[in-house]
Amino acid sequence: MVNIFVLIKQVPGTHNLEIDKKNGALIREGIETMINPDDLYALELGLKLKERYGGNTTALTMGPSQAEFALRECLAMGVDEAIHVCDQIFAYSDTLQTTLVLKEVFDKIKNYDLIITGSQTSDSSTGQVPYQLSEALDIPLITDIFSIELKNGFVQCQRNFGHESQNIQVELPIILRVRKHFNKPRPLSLLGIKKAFEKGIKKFDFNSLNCPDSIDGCNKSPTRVVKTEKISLQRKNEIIKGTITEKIQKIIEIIQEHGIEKIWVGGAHE
Amino acid sequence: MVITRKTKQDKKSLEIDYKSLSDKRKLDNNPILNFEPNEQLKLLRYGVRKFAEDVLLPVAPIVDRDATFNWETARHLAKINAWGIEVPEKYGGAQLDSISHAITIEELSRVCASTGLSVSAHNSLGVYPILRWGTDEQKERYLPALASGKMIAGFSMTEPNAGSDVKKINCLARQVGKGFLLNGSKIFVTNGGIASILIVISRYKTENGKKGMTAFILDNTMDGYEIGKLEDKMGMRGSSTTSIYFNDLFISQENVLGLISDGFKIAMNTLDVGRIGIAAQALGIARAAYEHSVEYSKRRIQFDKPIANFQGISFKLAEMATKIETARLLVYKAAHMRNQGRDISKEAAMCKYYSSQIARDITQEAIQVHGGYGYMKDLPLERYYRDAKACEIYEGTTEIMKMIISQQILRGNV
Amino acid sequence: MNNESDYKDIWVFTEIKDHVKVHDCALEILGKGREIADKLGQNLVAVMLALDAEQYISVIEEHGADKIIYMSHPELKHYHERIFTKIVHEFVEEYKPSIFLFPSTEVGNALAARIAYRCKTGLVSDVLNLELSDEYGENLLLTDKPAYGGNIHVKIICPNTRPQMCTITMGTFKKTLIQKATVEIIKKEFNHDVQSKIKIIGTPTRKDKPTSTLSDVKFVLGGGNGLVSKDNFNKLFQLARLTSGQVGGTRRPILDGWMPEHLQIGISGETISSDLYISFGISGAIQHVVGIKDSKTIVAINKDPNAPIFRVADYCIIADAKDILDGLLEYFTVD
Repeated sequence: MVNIFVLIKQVPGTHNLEIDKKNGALIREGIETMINPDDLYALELGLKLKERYGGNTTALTMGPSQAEFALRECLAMGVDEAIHVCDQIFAYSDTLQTTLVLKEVFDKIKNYDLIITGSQTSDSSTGQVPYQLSEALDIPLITDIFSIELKNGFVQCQRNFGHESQNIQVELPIILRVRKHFNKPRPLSLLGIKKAFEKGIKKFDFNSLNCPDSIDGCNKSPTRVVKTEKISLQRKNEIIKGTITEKIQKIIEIIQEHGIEKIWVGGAHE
Repeated sequence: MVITRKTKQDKKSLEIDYKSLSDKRKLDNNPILNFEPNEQLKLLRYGVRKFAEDVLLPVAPIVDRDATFNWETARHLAKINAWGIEVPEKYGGAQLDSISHAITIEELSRVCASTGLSVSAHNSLGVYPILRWGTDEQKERYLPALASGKMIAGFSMTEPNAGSDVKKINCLARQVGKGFLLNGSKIFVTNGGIASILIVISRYKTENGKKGMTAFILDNTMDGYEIGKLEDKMGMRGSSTTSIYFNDLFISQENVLGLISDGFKIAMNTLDVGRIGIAAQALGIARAAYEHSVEYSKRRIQFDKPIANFQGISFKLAEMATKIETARLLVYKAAHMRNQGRDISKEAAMCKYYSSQIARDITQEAIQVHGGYGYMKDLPLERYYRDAKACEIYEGTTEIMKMIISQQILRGNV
Repeated sequence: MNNESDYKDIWVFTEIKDHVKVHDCALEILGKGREIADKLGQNLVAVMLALDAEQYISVIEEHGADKIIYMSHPELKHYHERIFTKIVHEFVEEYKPSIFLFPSTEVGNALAARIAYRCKTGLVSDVLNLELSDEYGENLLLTDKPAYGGNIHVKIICPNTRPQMCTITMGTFKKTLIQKATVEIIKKEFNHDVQSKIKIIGTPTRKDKPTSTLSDVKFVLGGGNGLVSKDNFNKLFQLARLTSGQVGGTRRPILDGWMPEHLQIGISGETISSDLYISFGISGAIQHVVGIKDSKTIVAINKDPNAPIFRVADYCIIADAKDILDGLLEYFTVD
């Protein structure tokens, strides 16, 4: 039986975030949250693999208490279990601290075969955790796959690697990072939503994980965010006035400025 | 009556009370009045909205333009259990309560009212009567196919000469041996062209001369079942509305729903439930128009400022928001009472009357907010208006709703 | 925590692209690295692992390195996470760089993340700018990276651990030719035997061209339902052929059967970063706009002056898209 874990993160559900002018921090109050969009592809793959090969799927997140809602969404999609890693001391963890906590989690779980992640989070967009977790657990990370088969204790998949397309075979456990649009994530069904609230969510905190002192998101994260700025898209918004012919002429000029010229297409003289 | 004087002490204790109430957890546990949806309802709304924006948003203008029901959409709806919202899990449904049902319809209708209508009519007019009055055998036979969307259901009562005046129904089923022969015609049947199963309200006459009103479960494959032409409607164009003709259609005893004489009761009760659905639909349409208006009036610049900064527009927005909030409370209250198994005739009529009226108001004002652009088919505002208008008419006109409400009040249900 | 003063020099991982040339992004970073090195009075060091690595040395020298540490071996022809990580980590342990910069490429990001973990130091990815700053500590590297879909920029420092690491997006800096008078070349011997847990079955196939067409095209023509009919939409394809552009669009034309599914741009389709994007009759719902905002120049044509697309456009043309399309076709059609 394969034990599949999908790592997810709860992120703000909007691109129009505002910054608190007083303290320079992002305003998170009243902002809807959602599962990081890339993680949905990971969830879908986890569910598909379970449907095809059997096993158990668990969604795992590390985040504040409200991240439980994101786990409910995973349960509604159909994962069997959910784990919430949550502790005040994990707050403000950067990627290294996050990886160190996840290492403790998986060392405690022990029995894991496949850890699936999305490619990036839409909030911090670092994409580092899969690589670092691969280092921390000393298991291979496979990225950019386009097909996958599970066989007795190993996976066989096709992947893009550099400028090659390879058929590879690798022993479990592994970490799989799924790219965007790898599949079509299923919608939440009404029944799934109901069932999601009949299941329990397992909690892990600093003490239950027996974390070493090196774990302290706020004080021991090597990187520190010192400033946050809102960037407005600097577009010219220049309105082209004039007759339709003048407008067309202007577009032709813009096209030519970009080095695009009339090209000869064979067969124009038919 | 006891009059209490407000002293400084009182005021202070009031403040403390207020503060402790605003503590979210305490509010959740407040057993008296709770306006905060629980996490499950929040996830339900989120899930259905996401589905609607993903699947319905692109097809909504197309089904409206072409007046076609989209079967591909129907298959997607099946995946989220939308065809079996209240159907027990053992028959493949989601077995949810009335509030969840209303929220589902509201969120679907917010994006595509036609789809909201098809789903609402199926669940509350087609499936609900079978759930409530069907025999175990009837449930086994129909519910799995209905809940999975393999079959779509509808309900028909209206006839050319029997609209609001139900007693004038002409369709007649004469008893012949162990069954009935049905003749007559129905009009304005929601889901008429797509329904495999139809709940039909008809007169009956037994061999020994007993008369009354009855409800049948008909299958569109039965001999003598004929679907009339598709109506060309002002709005709700993606939902199929047709006439249905019955010519010597033989109905066996096992297709009678409830007791033979239960027809009127089934019809009235089913319509009560259906009205919550229509109200939820109207609420969804109103919200779409309102959300568009807020968004547009913030970015439309005239006289060097956003039109939202003009009182003429901003007051419209304030009115819309208030009306929506009021309608929402009525809808959820009626649904809540249904959850508790109470008589909902008055509340269902109130929420249907009010929500459909404000939906018409709001969609109309939304066009006004958008000016000329609102009048063009490039934007969905004119569709919202056409769709909303229907809500004031079907499943009982606003006037009939007021009759029901007033009858209830005068009967003592003040 | 490591003792900061033991760490000095600015390192750049000079990635070799497809075992044929030094990655342009790495050369760009050398230019910026030179600037920082001069300011700190430290060395700019290029780190390279490759097959026949000697052939690349001259290019790296021309771009300003003071020192090149390299290893040359057939095993290093392709990036291999275990071998590369082990070797580069050993270099870091031995020489203790203060700053280590990587190109933000598949290999650069992967290797940087692994090295950062092994060194238990911080890493900032996809940096858009970096500078030395005394605001938060003496000569700290202050990096600037986009977050939340690019609407927010965050400035990040790595105050207490070394090296300070980041990966840098291609095109952020300009390549500069500066040849130092003396360049120290250090060749390291390859003596590694790392067993891979990943077994390659059969012969891999080369895929020089990525399968996706939209994501790396220079000129994209977007169509929406403002084009009204399939005939008009076909004209868009015609114009694309005449200008070697590529057609993309919103969801609507797909549903109307005017355009195949894989040409969708936006949240549920491709994200483009073309030099020029012209939208024809697209209103600009957020689902679509998310997919085009990385384009360098955006021209929007719509008859609704309030269409949201104009808010993200450089040039706004208020007109019926099909009239404009006809005019452009007339011009670009060779007669």
